[in-house]
Amino acid sequence: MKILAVDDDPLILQLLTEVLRVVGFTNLTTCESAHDALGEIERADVPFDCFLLDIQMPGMDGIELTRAIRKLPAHKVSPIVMITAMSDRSYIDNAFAAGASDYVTKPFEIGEVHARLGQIHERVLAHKQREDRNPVSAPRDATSIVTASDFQSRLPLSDIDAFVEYLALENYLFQVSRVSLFGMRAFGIVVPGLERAFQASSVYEYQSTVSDFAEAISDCLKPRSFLAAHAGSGEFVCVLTDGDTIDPVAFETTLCETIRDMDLHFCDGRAMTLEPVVGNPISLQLKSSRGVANVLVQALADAEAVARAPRTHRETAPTSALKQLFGW
Amino acid sequence: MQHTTDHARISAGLARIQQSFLSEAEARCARLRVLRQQLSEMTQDQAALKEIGQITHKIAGTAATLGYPELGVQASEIDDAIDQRDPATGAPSPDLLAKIDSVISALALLKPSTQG
Repeated sequence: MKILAVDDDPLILQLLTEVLRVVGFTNLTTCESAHDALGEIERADVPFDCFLLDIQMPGMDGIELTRAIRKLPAHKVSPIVMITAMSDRSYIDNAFAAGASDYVTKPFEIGEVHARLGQIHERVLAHKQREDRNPVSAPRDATSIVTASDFQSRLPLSDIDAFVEYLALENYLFQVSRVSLFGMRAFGIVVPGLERAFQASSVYEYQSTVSDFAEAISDCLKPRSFLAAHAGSGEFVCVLTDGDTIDPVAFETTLCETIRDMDLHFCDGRAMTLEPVVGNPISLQLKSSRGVANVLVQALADAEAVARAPRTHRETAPTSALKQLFGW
Repeated sequence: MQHTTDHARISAGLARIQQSFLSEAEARCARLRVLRQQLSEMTQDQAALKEIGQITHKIAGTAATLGYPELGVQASEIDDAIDQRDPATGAPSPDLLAKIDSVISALALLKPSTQG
């Protein structure tokens, strides 16, 4: 795994070099500034597989550097791990919103760095194996008929405001749970019938529609502070990060209107009539670090339950007032 | 078993980096003394405070990993206090100045090993 580490403190770079060398990550390049790092990335014949970035650096900081790396086509989904002493919520929020995949706070535990990089290495290897098996996958897959595996894939959608990879959203929640989950809520959105509607479509057509739905979700959630991710097929999860909440019924109405206004059509000219269903927000406030790991799954399960049962029945259930009161 | 071997190999590497940290500590201690003196002469010297924040930020990032957890915590408290401080509040609080003095004292006690 080819790694680029950026930190203005040479001691941290020495530490990382040592820690990574011991576990076999010897292909490491180090830079003491974001400017130097961008030069290294540009000059690299073989692209870097992973980035380890400090946040607080003179000149361009690590969050700006993350944004700059994400703009490069070769690094839209490359793992970017922030390794930083900045443990405040605002830094964590900004780093993930800029495109960070994971976040480790200094002083770091050596075992923690090993564990995180081990996971990333597995992802990088899996990605390379897919590419080796199918070196021309991107252009061919786009026009081929969508498969069950395409439906299961979680699209990164990193070009859409506040959308991050699903794994990054999980990492974000885990990291934030160590600081404060105060005022945070998660909810799911599902698009019933999406897989059936795209069974005979191309990958490109399916992915474009997922992207259109994500765009609509992002537009409708603004100006709230949030992060969102595609969870595969027609499923999305959103995390409101700044004490805001949504009325799921009103939000669903707005989202459906926005999607209708987009006037989406299949390639054969048929109008698209798919409508998203919005789950109830779940408060993260009282969740433990362990509990927060399941919250995205719970949010999706709730949205699926809403899609199965008419919402009017759920609204009249005796627990709905309590749910509203406590933001469950 | 693998974990133990890794730990032993890391320990040897950390010992070398620790020497760099200790050498660096001397220079950082000297610079913090100068900046602390500047704060005594001009209590609202924002540039001096900013540089103190940068130095303690770096100490906070490595001290604990290299075996100096208390120094790391002290440095981190100064870093956080300066980072969250509104410059309009005027002179740094006595508590912050005491913490800076404490880190200077702790750094002064650190000496690089003279053993090969």
